[in-house]
Amino acid sequence: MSDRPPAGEEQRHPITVALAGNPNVGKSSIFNQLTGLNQTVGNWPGKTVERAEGVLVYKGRRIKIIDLPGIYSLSTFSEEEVITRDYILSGEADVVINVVDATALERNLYLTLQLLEMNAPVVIALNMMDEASRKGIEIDPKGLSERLGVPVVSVIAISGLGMTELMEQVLARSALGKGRRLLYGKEVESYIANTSGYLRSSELKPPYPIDWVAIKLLEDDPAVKEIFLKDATLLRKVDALLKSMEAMHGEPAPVIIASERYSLSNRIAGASASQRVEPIRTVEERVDNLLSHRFAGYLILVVILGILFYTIFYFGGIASFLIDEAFGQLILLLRDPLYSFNPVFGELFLNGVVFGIGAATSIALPYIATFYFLLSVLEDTGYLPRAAFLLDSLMHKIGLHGKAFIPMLLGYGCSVPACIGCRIMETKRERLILGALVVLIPCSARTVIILGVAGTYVGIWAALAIYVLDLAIVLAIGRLLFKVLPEEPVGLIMEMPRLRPFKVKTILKKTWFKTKDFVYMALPLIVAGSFVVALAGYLNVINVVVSALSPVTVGLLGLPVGTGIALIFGLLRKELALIMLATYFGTTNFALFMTPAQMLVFTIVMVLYIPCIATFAVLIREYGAKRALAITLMNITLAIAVGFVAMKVLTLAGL
Amino acid sequence: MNGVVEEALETFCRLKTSLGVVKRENLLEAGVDADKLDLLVKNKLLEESKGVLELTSKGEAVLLNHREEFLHDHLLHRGEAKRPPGAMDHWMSCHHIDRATLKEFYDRLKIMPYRIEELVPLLDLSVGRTGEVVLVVGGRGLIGRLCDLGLTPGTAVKMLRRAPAGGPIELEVRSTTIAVGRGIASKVLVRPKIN
Repeated sequence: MSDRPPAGEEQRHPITVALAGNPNVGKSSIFNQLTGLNQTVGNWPGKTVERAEGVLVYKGRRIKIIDLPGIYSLSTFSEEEVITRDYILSGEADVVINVVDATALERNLYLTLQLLEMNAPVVIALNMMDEASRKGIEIDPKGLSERLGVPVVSVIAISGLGMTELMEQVLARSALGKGRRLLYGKEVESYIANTSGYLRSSELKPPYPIDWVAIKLLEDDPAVKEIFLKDATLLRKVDALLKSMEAMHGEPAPVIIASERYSLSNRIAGASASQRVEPIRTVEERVDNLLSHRFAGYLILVVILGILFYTIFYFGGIASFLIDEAFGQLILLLRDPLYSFNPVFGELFLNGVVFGIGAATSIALPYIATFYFLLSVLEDTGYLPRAAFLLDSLMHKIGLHGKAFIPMLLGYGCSVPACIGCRIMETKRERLILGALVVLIPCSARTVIILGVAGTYVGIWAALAIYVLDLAIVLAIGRLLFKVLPEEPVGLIMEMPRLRPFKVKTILKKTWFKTKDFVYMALPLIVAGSFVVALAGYLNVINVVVSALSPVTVGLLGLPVGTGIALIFGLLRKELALIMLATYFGTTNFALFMTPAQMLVFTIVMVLYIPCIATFAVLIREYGAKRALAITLMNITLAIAVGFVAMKVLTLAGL
Repeated sequence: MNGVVEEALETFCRLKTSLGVVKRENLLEAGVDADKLDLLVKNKLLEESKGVLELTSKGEAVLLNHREEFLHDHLLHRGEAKRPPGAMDHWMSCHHIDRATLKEFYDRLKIMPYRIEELVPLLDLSVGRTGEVVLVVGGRGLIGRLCDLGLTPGTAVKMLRRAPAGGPIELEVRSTTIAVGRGIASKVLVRPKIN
C-alpha cells in the first residue's frame, strides 16, 4: 500500500512509527502489510533481540516503521521489555501503533495503559475483530477510543483490511505530540501525586514523564531506582510511601500497581465490549482437545514430526542433489577457460568461491527453506505451543521447560536458527543450557552423513540407533548441565494462542525472509572457509593436518587416517565431508576402506564433534566468544569420548 | 482444644471481612461454642468491648502461625515432613521468597479474608472449575511474571485441561489461555468458587 509520492515530497517530513503489542496479536502481520518486502531485519544494538525495520511511503510522507518485540508488560523482566521501554522513552517514535487483540481486550489494555503512562503517542489498531465476533464478543471501537483518549482503528491484519484508515490516523496523530496517561483509583493516585511531589523537589531530573517515574518508583522498579541512587533522601521518602501502601494492601508494591492497572483495563474492556451470546463449543476447541489429549495428542505429535522430517529429507535430498549436480556441471564448464587464464586463480576461484556458493545453496535452499516453510506452518497455526505443552514434563527432566522443545526441533533442521531460537528461554542460564544442547542435535547436514554412511552401509536400524543415541546424549548432557549450573530452573508460563488456519502467502514471505537471513549469515563464512581449504589444498598442507590428526583418528578412534579430511571439511559443511572423503580415497564405496564398526564410529564422531563454522559464528554472537569456545570444546571432548567407547564396545562385540 | 482455637479464629477472620464488625452473636451463629468463645477472650486472643469482638496481637500471632503451618503442611508439602523450625528460612530458601517480599507474604497471610482451609493449590482445581487467585508463594520474579499475564490476586481462573504425565496445566485467565508448569501451579493458591 504505497501510492506514488509527488516528486521530492517524500523526503520532507519523515515520520517514525513503532509497532508495540503483546505476542501473537498480529503485530508482524501489520508490519508486513505496511512495509511489504521493503524491510530489514537485524538485532538491537548489543542485544540478542531481533529488530525489524521497514519503510512505507504514504501520501507523500516517508514513514519509517519499527516492529518492537512482542511483550506483555513494560517492567524489566526480559530484554524485550527493556528494549521496548527504552525505545518508547527515547521519544524517537512520532506515533506508537499499539496492536490490540480484540478477543483478549482486558489483557491487551494492560500494556496500553503502560504505554500511556509513558505519554506515548498511541494509536490503537484493534485487530481480530472478526474472531471476536465469532466468539460472540461485540466491541464498540468508538467507546473504547473515548475511554482511552486515543484513536482506535479496527483492522484485520491478515487480509490488510483497515490499513489505509490506520495510516490516516497515524498521520493525524503524528502532528499532535505526546499522549496522556489515564488515572487509576483515588488511593493509588494520591501515592503517585505524593511521589511526583518529591520528584519535583529533587535535584535529579531524568528526562521522562514525571508521573511515569513516580509509578515506577512505587513499583519498586530497580532500573528507575538506580537513577536516584545519588538522592538518598528521595529514595527514603518514596520507600516510606511504598511501605505504607504495602502495609495497607498486604501485597508487594508491584502487585498493587499491577492490580490497579488490571482493574482499570477490566473496567474499560467491560464497558467497551459485550458478550452477545455465550460462546458455543467451536470446532477449534474440539481440535484443541484432541491435540492436547493424553494419547491422541502424542500420536499426532509423532505423526506431524514424522511428516516434517520425511518431507525435508525426501524433497530436500532430491533438490540438494540437483543443485549439487548443477554446480558440478558449472565447475566443469568453467574449468578449462579459467585454468587456461591462470591455473592458480582458476583453482582457488573454482574450489573456493564457486564451490562454496554451491555448498551454501545446496543446503540453504532445499533443507533450510523447506524446514522454515513447514516450521512457519506449525508456528502460524499455533501448533508449536501445543507441542511445548505436551513435552513440558520431559523438558523438566533436563532443567528446562516446554518451550525448549521449539529450538530443539529447529536443531534437526539447522543449528544456526536453533541457536538463535534459544532466545525464547527466559534466563541466561536456560539459554546457555539449551544452546549447548541444540548444537549436539544432528542438523540436516549431519543427517546426510548418518543416512549416507551408517544408513547405507550398515543398515537403517543402525542409523536410527545413532539418532536415539544422540538424543540420549542430549538428555544426559542436559541433566548434567542442569545439576552443575547454579540457580533455580524457571517454570513454564506461556500463552496458548488460538488455533487458526495459515495463509500460504504469509508462510512464503516468512520462509523467504528467514532463508535470506540464513544465506546472508552463512554464505560469506562458507565461501571464505572453502577458499581457505582450497588454498590449503593448493599449498599441499591438508595432508599435514590430516596426519597431525592421526593420533586421534587412528590412535583413539581406530579409523583410517584419511577420515581426518572429513573432520576438517566438517567444519564448513558437514555433508561435504563425505564428498571429500570419497575424493581422498578415490571411491564412493566407503565399504572399501572402512569396516561397519568404523563406519558407525565415524558417523557418531561426525555428528557430535564440532558445530560448523556458521554455527560457531552464531554461538559467539549469542553467547560471547568464551562460552562459544566452551561449548565447542565440550563437543570435541564428547565426540572423542563417545567415539572411543563405541569403538571399544563394537570391537568387543566382534563387529 | 488445639485446632478448635484456630478454627474459631479463622471463622472470626472470615466474618470480619464479610460483616465489617463482628459481634458475639455472629460467632455463635457461625457455629462457635459459647464456652470456646469465652476461652478465647479469657486467653486474650480476642478482645470484647461493647459486644464487639476484635483480634488481639496475640490472637493475630496464633492465627498467623496456624496459617503458616497449614500452608506448609497441607498445601505446599503434602505427604512430606511437617513444618521445620525456622519457617522464615524455609520460605526464603525453598520457595525463593526474597527478604523484601517476605514481609508482604506474612502481611498477606495475616489479613487474608478467607479461612486458610478454603484454599487449594491451583494444580488441584478440577477441570472446568473456577477459582480466585489468593496467594502466590514465590519471589518477585515469579509473582511479576504471573501478574503481567493477568494473574493478579483476586483474578478468576478457570482450569481448562491438564497435560498428561505430570505436565503443565492450561488455564483461562481474562479470556486468554495460559499454560502454567506444574511447579508454579502448585505454588499459586486459589479459593475454588462454589458452582
